Amino acid sequence: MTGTTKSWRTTAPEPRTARPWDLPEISVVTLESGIRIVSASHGAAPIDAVRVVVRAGSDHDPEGLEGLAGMTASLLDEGAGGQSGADLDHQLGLLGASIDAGADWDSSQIHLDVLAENLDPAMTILRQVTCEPNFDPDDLERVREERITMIHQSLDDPAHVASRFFSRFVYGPGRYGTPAIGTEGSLRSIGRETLEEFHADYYVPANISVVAVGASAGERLHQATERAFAGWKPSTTGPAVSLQPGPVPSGFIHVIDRPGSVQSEIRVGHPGVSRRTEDYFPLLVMNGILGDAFNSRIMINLRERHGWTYGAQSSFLFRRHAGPFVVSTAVRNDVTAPAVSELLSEIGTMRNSQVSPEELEHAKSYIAGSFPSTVETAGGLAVQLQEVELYELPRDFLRTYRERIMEVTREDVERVARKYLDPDGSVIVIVGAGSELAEAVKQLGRPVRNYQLDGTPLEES
Amino acid sequence: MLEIERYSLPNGLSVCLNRDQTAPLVAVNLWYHVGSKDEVPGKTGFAHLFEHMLFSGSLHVGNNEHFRYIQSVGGNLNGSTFFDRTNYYETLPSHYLALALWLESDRMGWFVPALTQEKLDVQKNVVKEERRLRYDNAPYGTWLEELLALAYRHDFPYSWPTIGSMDDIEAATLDDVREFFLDWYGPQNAVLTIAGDFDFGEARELVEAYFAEIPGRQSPSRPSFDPARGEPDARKIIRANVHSPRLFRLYHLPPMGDAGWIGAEFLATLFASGKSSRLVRSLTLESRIAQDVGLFVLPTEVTGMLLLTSTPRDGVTLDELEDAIDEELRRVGDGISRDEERRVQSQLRVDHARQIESLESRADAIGLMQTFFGDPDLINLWPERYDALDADELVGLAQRIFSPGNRVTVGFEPEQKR
Repeated sequence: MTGTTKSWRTTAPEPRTARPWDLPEISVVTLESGIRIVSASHGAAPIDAVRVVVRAGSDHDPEGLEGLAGMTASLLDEGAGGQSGADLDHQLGLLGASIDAGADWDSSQIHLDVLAENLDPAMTILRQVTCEPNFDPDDLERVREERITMIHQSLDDPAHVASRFFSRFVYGPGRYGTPAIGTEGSLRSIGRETLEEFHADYYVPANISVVAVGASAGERLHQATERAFAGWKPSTTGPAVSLQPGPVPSGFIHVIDRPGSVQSEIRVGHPGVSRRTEDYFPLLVMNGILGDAFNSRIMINLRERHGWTYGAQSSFLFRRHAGPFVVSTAVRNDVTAPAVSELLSEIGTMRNSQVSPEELEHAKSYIAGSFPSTVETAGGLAVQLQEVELYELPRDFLRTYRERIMEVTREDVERVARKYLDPDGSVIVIVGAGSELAEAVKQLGRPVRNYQLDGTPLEES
Repeated sequence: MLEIERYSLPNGLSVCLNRDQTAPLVAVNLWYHVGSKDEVPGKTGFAHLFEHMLFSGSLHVGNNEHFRYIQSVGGNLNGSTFFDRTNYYETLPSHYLALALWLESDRMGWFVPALTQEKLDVQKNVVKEERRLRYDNAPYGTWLEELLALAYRHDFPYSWPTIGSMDDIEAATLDDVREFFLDWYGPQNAVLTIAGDFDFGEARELVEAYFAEIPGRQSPSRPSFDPARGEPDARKIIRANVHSPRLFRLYHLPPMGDAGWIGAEFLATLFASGKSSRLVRSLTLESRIAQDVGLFVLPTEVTGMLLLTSTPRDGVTLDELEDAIDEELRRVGDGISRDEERRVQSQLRVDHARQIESLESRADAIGLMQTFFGDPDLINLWPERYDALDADELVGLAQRIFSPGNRVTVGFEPEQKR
């Protein structure tokens, strides 16, 4: 490096030799009861992260009781072992700890974060919250009303409305077509017995993994977990579910009128593929090129070339069953129709044309290179280990992650683009000022359906 | 305890180094001591628009190439703008430290030659969409803007939000961009923090090589800011297309770092963090008047702000909600128990540990301490300040902070029944 030629100023510097990096040692033990304990010592802060992962989420909600998994999980830390949620929270607070419980599509989870020195007493509370929730009828009523109000409030947010209608039009009557939180009607049908039944069916040792990662030694994390959950009697796990998307008419443009909107929220997409797909790594790379990095095709086109939006991205929402592929953006009203055209055209180009060696390498090195920072903290590594447990991924999944990304070829990317992208069959949802958009949207050449915000269809114009 | 080495280059650049070899990652973080506070009426939103421009390339780095360089080696990066500062940061595999320093130094030293009107026009449009997305098209989106306008006299620059007004964003010119850069983006007005896996000797050498030749300039002397307040207990009710009413309040505080500001962090946790905190417990669990309640303190330099947000349950009016909140806040006069004090202190300690856990947020916290207080080691002393708080003094502080004359209020009411 020299200041005289300044060549070091005009070109990017070469890297030093990479320092070897590996994951910490990860122990996986299945106890006699069937509960799996995954533990590792990791992270720079004096904090332990313990996650109870139940392999049943909103996808296990029975028809008519949508929102059951979410309600069950959120009531766990409202009170357990005969103590109130506030009392438990106070005890946890004294320990420098907090517990959060909730459900997503694929799982129900209880998260404990705790100052490492107080791991043992906090684990006792974690066990109570997981195994002995009060399900107090009074708390149930309160949480029910809160969640119903949340459903009403969510209609205020155009981004939320767009995602909700998108799911409905992509999945129709299938479970993924109704929001995970449920509907006012389904929440009103949930009683204390339904919660207890769901808890008894799915919160059973054989259906649970506990991931414990943090400043404490791995052995200590394992032992504290084993001790806390000792004596939990095994029982049969409730029925598994299979979700089949119903036949849904595709190719429509659905316009949801939100009078006064100064932006249009746009969603374009269709059913995608399960998290367990063998094409997972090629899909990550393909989607990285299309719309998952700042320099992706979609972002450069809509934001940096046209200045139409603050952000635009595409994603495969990987779930146990085939979640959606969706492109999302928000643009100013007068460029709504051209933005939809550009998005469809980018999906089509991705599907039908070759990728350049530069963009392939860029996407691969971004995804592989950023992996270590996703597992930098205890909580970060816990998230990755939770996925391995939940989707029953191979034991070496995390250790070989970067190699598997780097092995993806141009042929792989082009193959999965052809297989999993369908611009013609895409559902298009626009939430915006319907009257301002009507003429331009018609020019897109697809059949248009119009709705009010609450989903009531509007007369054909 | 974080070991931090601090020094300055002759051009005025402050450098903070914190070595941690847990993972082969390094965080590079630049704080420029400039924010929306340095704007004037008619040019609001400029510091933030400028932040966008700084990603549009410099003499040796093309438009958007900064993103491409960092992402293609597996790094993450971004920037953000606030009242008093603008930060730019990247976290990347540690053997690429030189790449991050090259990119940051190129835009600190060679930004102006790469400016074009076309780039400015694109970023103006992008920022206008950001404003629409976060403010104008979002439910309650303008709450902070409304609150600030009530809290301060209109010529005090905390009276507008960092995003600025649409008209001002539209009116920005290339000359404005050049001038702002020359005024505020010299090394004398910046703090460079490097945290993570590096060798001290090599890091110092790279910093010297990339930054030392950038000439220091004089930043304009700042006016002595008069944080002139608006009318005490001012209120504004806004009719909006929303399902629920919502309450927003701003309580005035001393500036960040002052004992009263630290005390307000304690009070925010005492009243609104977790089910056992006072407002959450009484309003959402017991009387069930509120759907949610939150309190948080902003890190600001000239004067401080404690913000309250709360949504009433269906059927409860804003007046009823405010009465219930004020009644619970007044109850602090009965004292704070030793047990409660211990809970809050434990939580604050954990929050602090979490803040310095990842390299990215640790580097940012170090940059803050050096920029605002000229002492990065304050990061280590901060938790002791919570332990030094005295329960009786906190009661008096709470009574002063939560008195009606010390606040302004914005309420949103649904326009129509849906």
